[in-house]
Amino acid sequence: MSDNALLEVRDLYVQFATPEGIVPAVDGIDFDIKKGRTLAIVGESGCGKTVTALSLLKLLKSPPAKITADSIKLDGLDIYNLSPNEIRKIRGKDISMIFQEPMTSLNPVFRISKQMNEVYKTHTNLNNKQIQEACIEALRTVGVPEPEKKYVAYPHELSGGLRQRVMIAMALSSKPKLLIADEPTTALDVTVQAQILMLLRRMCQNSGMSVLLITHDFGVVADLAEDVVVMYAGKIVEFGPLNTVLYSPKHPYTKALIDSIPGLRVKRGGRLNSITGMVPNLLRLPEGCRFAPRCSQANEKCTRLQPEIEQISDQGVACFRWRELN
Amino acid sequence: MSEVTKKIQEHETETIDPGIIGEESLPISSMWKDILRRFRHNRLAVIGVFIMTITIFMCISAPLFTKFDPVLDMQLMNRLLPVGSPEHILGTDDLGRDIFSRILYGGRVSLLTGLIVSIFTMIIGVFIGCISGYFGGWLDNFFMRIVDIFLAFPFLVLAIAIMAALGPSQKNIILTLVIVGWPSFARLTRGQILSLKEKEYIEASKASGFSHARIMFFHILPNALAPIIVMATLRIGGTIMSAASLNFLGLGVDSSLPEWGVMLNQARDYMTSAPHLSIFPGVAISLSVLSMNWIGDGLRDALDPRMRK
Repeated sequence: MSDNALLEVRDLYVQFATPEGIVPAVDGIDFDIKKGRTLAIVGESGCGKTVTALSLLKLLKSPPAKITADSIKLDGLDIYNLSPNEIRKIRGKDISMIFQEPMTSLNPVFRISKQMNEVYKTHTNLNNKQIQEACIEALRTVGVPEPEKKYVAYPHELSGGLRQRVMIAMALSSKPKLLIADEPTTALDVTVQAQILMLLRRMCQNSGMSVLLITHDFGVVADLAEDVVVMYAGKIVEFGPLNTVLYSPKHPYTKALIDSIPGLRVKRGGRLNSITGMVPNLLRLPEGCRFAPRCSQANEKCTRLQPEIEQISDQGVACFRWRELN
Repeated sequence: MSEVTKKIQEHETETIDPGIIGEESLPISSMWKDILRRFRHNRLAVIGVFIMTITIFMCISAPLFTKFDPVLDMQLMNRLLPVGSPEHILGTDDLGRDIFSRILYGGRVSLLTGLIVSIFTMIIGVFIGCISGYFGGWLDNFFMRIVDIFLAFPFLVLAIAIMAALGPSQKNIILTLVIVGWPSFARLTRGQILSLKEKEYIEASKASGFSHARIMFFHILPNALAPIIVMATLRIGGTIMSAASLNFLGLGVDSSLPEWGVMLNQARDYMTSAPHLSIFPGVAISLSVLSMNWIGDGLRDALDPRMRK
């Protein structure tokens, strides 16, 4: 796709062995994250977004998970073939992660200070005093009021928004090349969401790192992302730069998604659409295009064959009929 | 970017971003302070601590309270003196030894045994439980089947069998009680670890690149400490009792050595003629076991965050 990619993922499969059979949670996807840019993976629950993110760091328990890929390259380094010990050194150092649930992502029995210090100790070689200063500075940067006081607080003494800020400060402490943000605002209320999004945007602008944003919220995507990948049932259905995808979506699924949020394509007073049906059971996937059973435009070919990704300049779409439909 | 737009952007970020509205700092009270406060509200637990403190103090500084040696000062003219005799407040035993002094010195042995056994069973049990619960798989199966085997035997029968093999001595009592005692700790710890390792903050610490050992002992274990501490405390009382039982059965220390269980054993012959020989060691055992149990119960309530008001 391009040369200045920080992360290149080629042909990634993640399968879970369950008693009912093998669940193909991620089914052969390719994507790139360019240096200093934010890529959002969008999709419904269960489409494989989070699994994709976790598989990059090999954080999935295997078994039952089985990860296979042609290659996963971080800045030219093949991280797919690293040993567990080597990948551990990448975690938190080159690739950091922010989780969905700030309320439970901090260890309840330790003060913030201890948890932050530990991250610094593992990934930098500052002395104790420098670490403390760096921590308080980091807390201040992410907008924690009275950082000296919050630094010695326990997680239960902080609100959800503050905890997410602490998580962000911790994730950024090692100056990672890539930040994976797995639904960073889902568990927060709307005003705090806005603050956290603004903070994230400011942090990526300042540090020049790349971000992999996992979300189901096109509002968040529109706010933060520069490139978008839309996933459906373990496959990529469309990708491209934010504005192209948002304003001229090619795939019927992307269109339907965007039509279900107010203000993007649906104008004030217009009617929001909903996508009928349910996400297919990954154990009983349709034979053809995975979206075909719910797609209003599907024809006989769609239910028979699986569409490949077709690239039009920097946009890609996996649909047989996109040309006639646009 | 022009100056104006820059200004506008700066203005935007300044006005909206630092607005952490309504997030005033809460009064910070440390976890341990909270626990201590709750513990102090439990009357029985406080009484337990009180009794235990006095007992430990008197046992450690036994020479301050009695001038008699518990073993050597045998006065055969003063056999079986009753309670309240001028020199011997709690009377003397069948060999004319001062009972009060034997109880004090005997307490050293009993309490120390309780403490040592409790600590070692905890260390071994917690270590094995951690590894078992964290790694799972065949390791878990292996350790847990061993635990099952140990727990399948009645406690005292197993202890007697091991004691018989090792030979009588206080050291062997400790060893036996450790061998018999660790499996329940391992099982308790494993259960805790199993549920804790699925927590999000553990996933987060994995994503931060910490090692298995670090996550296991410094991230998961501290969260599991509360029930372990409670069990260890209760175990001290239980161990005092078990050690006394083994000694009572004559499997333990040399019968001249003061130990509460041994004293009870010797007092059997005089149960009717001189009941104070068995009453006082019995009371000593009961009191210390009871107060350790009260402390354990109090700790359990204090450490349980769901009790927080």
